[in-house]
Amino acid sequence: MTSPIFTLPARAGIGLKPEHVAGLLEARPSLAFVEVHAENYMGAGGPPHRQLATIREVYPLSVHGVGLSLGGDEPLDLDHLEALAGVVERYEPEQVSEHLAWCRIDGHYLNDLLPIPYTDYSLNLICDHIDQTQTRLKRRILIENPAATLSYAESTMRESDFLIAMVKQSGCGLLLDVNNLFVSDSNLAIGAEDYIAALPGEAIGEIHLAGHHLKQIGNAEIRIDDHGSTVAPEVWSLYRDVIARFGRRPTLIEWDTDVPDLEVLLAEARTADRHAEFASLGGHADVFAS
Amino acid sequence: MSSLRELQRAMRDHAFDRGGTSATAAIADVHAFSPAERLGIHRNATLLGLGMALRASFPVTLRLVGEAFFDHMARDFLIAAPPRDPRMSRLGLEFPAFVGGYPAAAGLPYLSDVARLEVAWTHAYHAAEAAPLPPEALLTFPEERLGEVVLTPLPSLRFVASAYPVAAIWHANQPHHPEPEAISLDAGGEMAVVWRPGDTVRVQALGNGAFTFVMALATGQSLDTAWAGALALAPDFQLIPELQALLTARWFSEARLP
Repeated sequence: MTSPIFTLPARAGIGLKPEHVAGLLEARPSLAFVEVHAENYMGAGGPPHRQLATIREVYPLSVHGVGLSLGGDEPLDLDHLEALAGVVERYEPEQVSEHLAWCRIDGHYLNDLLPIPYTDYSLNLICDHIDQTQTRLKRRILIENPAATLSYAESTMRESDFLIAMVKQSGCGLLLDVNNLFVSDSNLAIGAEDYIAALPGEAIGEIHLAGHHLKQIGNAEIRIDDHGSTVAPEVWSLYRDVIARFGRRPTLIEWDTDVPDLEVLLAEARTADRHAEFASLGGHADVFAS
Repeated sequence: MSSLRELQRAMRDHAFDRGGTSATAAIADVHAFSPAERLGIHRNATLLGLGMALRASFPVTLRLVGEAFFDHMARDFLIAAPPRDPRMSRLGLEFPAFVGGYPAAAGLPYLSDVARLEVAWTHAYHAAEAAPLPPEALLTFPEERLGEVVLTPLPSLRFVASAYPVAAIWHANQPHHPEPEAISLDAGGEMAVVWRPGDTVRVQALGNGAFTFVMALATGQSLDTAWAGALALAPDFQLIPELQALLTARWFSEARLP
């Protein structure tokens, strides 16, 4: 087996929020890394860049793109790829990632990460786009699995098989979002355990953890990924399974709506580290079941 | 569905409420929810997410009309003109023009200009860094050639001219401002400059002569030419105090002789 590809420390980090910058710089709490959305730093200057430049001197950095639309069936937006390259060149992050999703068609941007059908056609399409991105950025990128509330009748592959083929064909790594996987499994019964067992562990360069909520539609509930609360117990459990199987990985606590105080995020990051340490030592999950 | 591109177009049309009902046929009909219900979740995600981003970019416009009205107007805007840039900082560039032509907002004729001021604010917030000129900068030029001096504006500098007191409205309706005092629309129009001399974006109304003067300088005219233009519009325009104001306000980053 080749060595794991992660380039960040294999502990927990947090998403960077403007309201937490002063607190981070003052207390400099121990964090493996911070992660930012690339699109928030595509302006020429201003407070966002001033803050990130200072933070970057203190913490390892992960740049996470949300707008490239790698799964969109049209040519990549070259202006956007250049803007992403600009952010990467400006901050030289340890890690860069994007999504297995589409969010743009005919130049219209949906501000939503929509799943794609898993077919030979879409596999070639996204691999071409990943190749174009990796070539421009001159680095390997990680691709994140979606949080799905729908799937497509024309799909011929399971998502895990698609990811395996995508890694093999494009040379990208994987960003395994365990919350997304749990949400997709809950909504579409894709089989989280088999999914994890099938993944090439050496390709997993980062893990995302976040909260989601349950939405009532008719008589049933659907899970919506919203990054607006603490990590659910079932997601912690899946996270421990992943760590027990593949070893520890850089792990992000994402919290993008109803952003809490920095202390809450730091506590969640410490909790992630405790789960990971426990799982990597072969501990039994019941300790954290409450 | 003939192709992935056609499917994505249909889903786009569905998300922006422009038809796109054919997308439901492509969604797997599994478990508890219908394809239409599953697509509906994505429509909500698109329109609510973009609507929240517009709220964040136009806090004063939002405060002036209230959340319910704003959200309705934002939704109509997004459906009429789906965004073309994933950068949220560029999401509302066409919003002021849309607001200006929005029939339900016709009773608030200043609203479009307030939105325009907020677009200028967002531009200034994200504009490239440049160190403002120190106040003594003009002293370094020989007095007899001072009139030839040309100034370079900060990349953040923007001008918003309005037939309404747009800067006063903006200042009185900041989110932290408890109870805005009444502003008389009869007070006349205002010409505002928006710029970021450091970390904070500033908004300031200028008199007719000063606005003309600063705008002429920003477009590369010399001090002499800009002064003449300002005098033509405002015969009482006083150069020396205006120059001092200009330097202490820090609108410009560089001064040079051509």
